[in-house]
Formats: sequence, structure tokens, C-alpha cells
Amino acid sequence: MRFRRASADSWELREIHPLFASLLVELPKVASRHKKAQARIYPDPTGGEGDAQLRRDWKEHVRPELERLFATSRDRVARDVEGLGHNGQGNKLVIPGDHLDAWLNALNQARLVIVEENRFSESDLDHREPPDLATRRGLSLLKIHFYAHLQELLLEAVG
Amino acid sequence: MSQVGVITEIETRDEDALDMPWNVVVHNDPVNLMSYVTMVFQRVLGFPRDKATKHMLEVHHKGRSLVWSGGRERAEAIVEQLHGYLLLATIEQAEL
Repeated sequence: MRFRRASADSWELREIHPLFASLLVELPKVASRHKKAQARIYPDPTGGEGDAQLRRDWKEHVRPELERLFATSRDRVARDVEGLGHNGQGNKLVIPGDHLDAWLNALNQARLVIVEENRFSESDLDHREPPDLATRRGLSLLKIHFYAHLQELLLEAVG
Repeated sequence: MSQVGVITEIETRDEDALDMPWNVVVHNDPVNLMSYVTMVFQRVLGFPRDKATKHMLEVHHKGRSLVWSGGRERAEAIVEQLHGYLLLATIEQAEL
């Protein structure tokens, strides 16, 4: 898989392996599975020890804003991956420059969701052996590492 | 006169308590990439890269870093922005 600037205002991934293409396509869906990751994606601003009024206000006013922000990011990514594999140009994905932040955000949502769903520990994530792809847990680790790799590439692009 | 003096002193203490700064603290988590956290500190807090990196490393090694202190309203706005980037951030009132 190669990543490069395609034009003044866009970036592209080329030569995407079909497995990674499938992970890109499912990214918005994975990122939306907030159910088991609520506490991490919408953390308590007081850390559980501050004033209850702030927590209530946060839930009422801030959380809806965050939900909108996260949904907007996922929607942008979903639009970008729509043509993947069906654009007549092989496995190529074009990311508009003004979608880079949305990608970073959606990738983070997805990684947090996967970690919470699988209850991965820090040592699980730091484990450097290739994951066992025959298991659901191993495949989940692969997804986390692939999404992290993509984040690193995008961070270099963002500068 | 002395009674007035006492009342004035109590009011001053109350104002001091209200004016105590609020701290924005960022906590470690195993998911966010170090380079990502550094970028967020630069963007949200306006830190130059070396300062952002120093705070990122403090989060990584010590588990938390105090990244901003000041008025409550601004502290809440910063925490909201950090949550928008999916960082673990909390607001804490500074201790006397």
C-alpha cells in the first residue's frame, strides 16, 4: 500500500491489498459502534470526582455536540470509501485534504471501539508478534494496528 | 469599624475561592498515538512542538499532565475540544 499526495488538495492510497480495502470500507461502521465504548468515547469531564452539576450539564450540552462531530467525521469517511474498489482505477482511495481530520477522528473512534469491545490491555496492544488471524481477537488486533498505521501516515500529511 | 473589617475579610476569602484556577489534566490511555497527542496539544493549546512533546511524554510516563490552568469557562471549553479529539481529559479545581 502506498500513500502519497495526489494533488494540491488531496491524498491517495494506492495498491491497497483486498484485506486492507475491506478494513477501510468497514471503518465508518466500526467507528459507529459506540455502545460498549461509551465511557471512553464520552468520558466524564470530572473523572468521576467532580461536581455533579457539571456532569449533568456536560451530558446535556456537550455530549450532543461531540456526537454530531463524531458522526460528521464518520460520514465524510464513508463518502470517501464509497468508491473504493469500484472506481475503475483499481484499489485506490482518494482522501480530500479537508477530510484528513475526519479520517484521524474516525480512525480513533474505531480503535477505541475495538479496544473496548475486546478489552485489550496495553500489553496486548504493545505485543509485537503477528496476531493470529484465525481468531476474532487476532483479527481485531490487526485492525487496530492497521488503523494506527494509517493514522501515522495521515499525521505526516497533516504535518 | 472592626465589624466592617471582619465582613470585608470574609468576602475577600469567598472571592479568592471562586477565583481559584481550574486545571485541565490529560490522562494516559493505550490507544492514542504519541504523535497524535502531540498534534492535538499543538492545535488545541497552541503549544510549540517541543512543549507539546514534553507534555505528551509526561502523559505517557507519569500517567497525566496538567496542560492548562485558568478560568473555569475556558477550562471547560478546552476539555470539550480535547474530548472532540478523543483524548482523556478532565477539569479539576486547583487546591488551596
